[in-house]
Amino acid sequence: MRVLIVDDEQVIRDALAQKLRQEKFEVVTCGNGLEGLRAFHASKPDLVVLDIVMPGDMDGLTVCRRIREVADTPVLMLSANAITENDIIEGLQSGADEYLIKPVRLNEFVARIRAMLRRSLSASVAESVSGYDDGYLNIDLNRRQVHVQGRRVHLTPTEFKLLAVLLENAGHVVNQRELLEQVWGAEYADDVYYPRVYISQLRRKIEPDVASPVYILTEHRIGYRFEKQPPVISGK
Amino acid sequence: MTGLSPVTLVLNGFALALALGFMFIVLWYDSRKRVIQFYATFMLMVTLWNLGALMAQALALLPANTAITSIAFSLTELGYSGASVALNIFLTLLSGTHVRRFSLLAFLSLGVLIAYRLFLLFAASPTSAVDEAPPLATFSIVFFVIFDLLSLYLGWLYRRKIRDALMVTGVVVFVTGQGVALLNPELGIVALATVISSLGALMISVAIVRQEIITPITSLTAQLNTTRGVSMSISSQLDPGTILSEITVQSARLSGADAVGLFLRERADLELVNVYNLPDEMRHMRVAVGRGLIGQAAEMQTSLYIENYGRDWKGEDDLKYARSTFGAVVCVPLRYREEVIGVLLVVSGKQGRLFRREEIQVLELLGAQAAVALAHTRLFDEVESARSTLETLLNSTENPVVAFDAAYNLIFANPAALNLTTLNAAIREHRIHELLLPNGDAPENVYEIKLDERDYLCHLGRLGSVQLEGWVAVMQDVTQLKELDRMKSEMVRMVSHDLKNPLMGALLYIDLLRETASSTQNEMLTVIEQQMDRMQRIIRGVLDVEKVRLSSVLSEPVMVKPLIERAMHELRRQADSKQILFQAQNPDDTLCFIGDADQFQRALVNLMENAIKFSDDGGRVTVRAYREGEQIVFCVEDDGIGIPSELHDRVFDRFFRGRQQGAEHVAGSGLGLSIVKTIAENHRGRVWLENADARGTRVFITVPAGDSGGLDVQLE
Repeated sequence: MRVLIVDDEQVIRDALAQKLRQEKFEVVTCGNGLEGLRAFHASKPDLVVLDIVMPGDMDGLTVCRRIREVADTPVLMLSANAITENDIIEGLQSGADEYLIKPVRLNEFVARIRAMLRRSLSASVAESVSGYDDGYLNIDLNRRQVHVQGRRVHLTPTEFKLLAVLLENAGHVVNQRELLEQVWGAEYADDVYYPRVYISQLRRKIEPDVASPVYILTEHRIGYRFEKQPPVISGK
Repeated sequence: MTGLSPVTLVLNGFALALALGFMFIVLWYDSRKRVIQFYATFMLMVTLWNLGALMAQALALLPANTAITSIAFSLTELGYSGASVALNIFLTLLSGTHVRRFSLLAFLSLGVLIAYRLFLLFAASPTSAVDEAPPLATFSIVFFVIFDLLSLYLGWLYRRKIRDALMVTGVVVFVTGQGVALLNPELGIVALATVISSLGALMISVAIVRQEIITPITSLTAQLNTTRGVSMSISSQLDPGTILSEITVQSARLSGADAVGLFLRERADLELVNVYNLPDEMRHMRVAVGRGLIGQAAEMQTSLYIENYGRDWKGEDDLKYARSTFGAVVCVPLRYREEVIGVLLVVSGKQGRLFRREEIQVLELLGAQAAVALAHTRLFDEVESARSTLETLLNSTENPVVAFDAAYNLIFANPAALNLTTLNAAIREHRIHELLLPNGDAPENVYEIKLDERDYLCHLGRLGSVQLEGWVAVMQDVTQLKELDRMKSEMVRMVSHDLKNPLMGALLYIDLLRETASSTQNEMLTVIEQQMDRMQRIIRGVLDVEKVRLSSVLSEPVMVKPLIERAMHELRRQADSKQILFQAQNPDDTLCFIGDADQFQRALVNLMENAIKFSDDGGRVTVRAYREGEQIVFCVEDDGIGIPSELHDRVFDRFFRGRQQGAEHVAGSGLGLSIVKTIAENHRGRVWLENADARGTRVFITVPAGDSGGLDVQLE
């Protein structure tokens, strides 16, 4: 397993790298965004750890977006200056799968990395449902592909997994805790931001109208529910 | 015998007829006045005397008739002595020196005199018939000596008061006439005497007509004209100094006084502010209200008149030299709205004239007008100075101020407002309402507006208490404040970032060290870790304050029971580690409010965390929520060390940390409760502390209750 760590703080970079190496990971480290992006293309890591605030033109958010243009590689974002929820949401919207606020302790860091890798490696969800198609939205769980009106929509592994869990329970409410445990892992049970951010990203990608969603509905303070829609006869 | 001279007869009859004519005029004018009544009595007696004398002269030409003769003599005697008495009484009244019941006594004595004469006429044997008229009886001589001389004395003594030279001359002439009658019993002399006396009576009549009728009428007209002129000249002035001197000069002119002083009230004192003919150094002298003649006039709010200050005034002296120089003195209070604002002092010198009642009345009239003029000047001054202060204020302030009426016409704009190009253009193009009343006539009171590329906070106020009369907008340039605010947030962000990175680096190396450290080293590492945790908490506290401040408060329905459960869930582990009995007391399922669940949960967590931190191991922390009227009340109670009451308000201040005994070991940033307060205020709620019954503290936080029925479950 290869992990790329991009952080301008050498002390942090070194400590994280040392720990990961102890845990038998292969580690590549970089001190700024541009180098990080180069290293990403050069070393093809299985996971990227990105600091947000870095010197130079390219900050962590940009690097993450650039990575997302070409790959689904899980990204763990580290931030020192997050103040409001919006900061976290901005980070997640750039395509990160995880958002940790500094200071982060070594054990938690390693645990999160393992969980992320586990998530990205678990290729398929359950076999009970293979997909969904109503003419407007097409979900193929086996090929991990989603089409909206015939056009392919790019989903990150986390987004895909979230959609899969909801589809699997279509018509039933999945509460936040269940969602967190199934998609992110048991250790994430308290991170209530994640579902909220990912649900809104999913809606932006698949809902005909984000303001009044029809597929992914919110059950206030409980959780979310996937609602199947009557088939649309294509106008073609 | 000289006989009846036609010349004297005609002269006498003419003078008498004229005098009688005047008498009737005066009686017709005002018959109720005592002076006039006695003047009429006097004239009646003079007529009787003349009639008697005429009869006696006529009888001399006829054959003797003792009865008629004695009647004629009696009439002469009665008229002669009666006139003496009546003149005396008249003069006494005129000089104003009469004692009480004087007129009653006077009438009585006249009555006795007449009765005595009638008694003599009918009861006593008639005087022997004589060719010549008998000389006046001794009785009449006594009357003449006593009363006429007394009258002369009175006239002399009160010449200042009588003032009319004709009157005094008339009295002298009349007395001379009566005197002449005594000289020689010859009829010719008697006729001469009656002519002189008639002329005297005519003079007295003319004087009385002038004094009683003509002078009041002419002086009234004159006074009316002067008062009108004075009040016009006073009210046309607005300069206080001019008005004051106008009042004093005009009062002196109107009353013919020798000196005038004008006192203005200064709290409990009266200050001499303007003088006429008084020594200038007297100016600014002060007299206390209620003391002296001036003070008394102010206190009693009535005019006071003293004829002779040195003789009649028994109270305290008002001014230096007053007793030695003042003669007649009038004090007129200047009243405005039931309040004395000053006193007008009108003085005549020791040998000067006295004041008539009409003059005092005119002074009072003048005083009333002067008071109004002065009060108005003061009001005008106050308004003017307030206006100029306000104008200076508005002109000097950097805040643009604009006022406009309900039809959006400009009422006022200060230079700061006119200097703003955007605002100036709006004013010129008559579309100021588009700029300043963005929501029409029902605007927000405070809103932000961008003018000339700068940010302004506009405070809008309505003009008119009942009906809308317009608007006034006060704008405050907050560009710099907003910039500062942005810089502050930026700095907080930067500092927290710059602190968090080294902190994380250090913590990571502690983690790495732990893997190889010995047990003693591990203990030391724990200490280092604890210290770093503290630092981290402080940073988090600062960021939390910033976070609560920056985050917009959501308005969504929040159920109370799940909220409490989530908050307690966050702290369960912390409570368990201290074996604290941490429980919620049956919160109501239906309680609900509109607000930001995350923020409010944050507030509850902070309160509960405090309760846990300040409780001893094995203590108890209880959370309750209930509805009280329109409010939902959350109460977190602990049985910990408690907080002294005097600190109850201060604990909500930023960075306040209680330094009480027993709490030294408790870590915190001093920001937790200040965040709670901000959150409570964001929710239009309140937070406060109370001491629990036994020991420990109760913290309350309230929020307006929402309607739990028909909740919209849609989130986002």
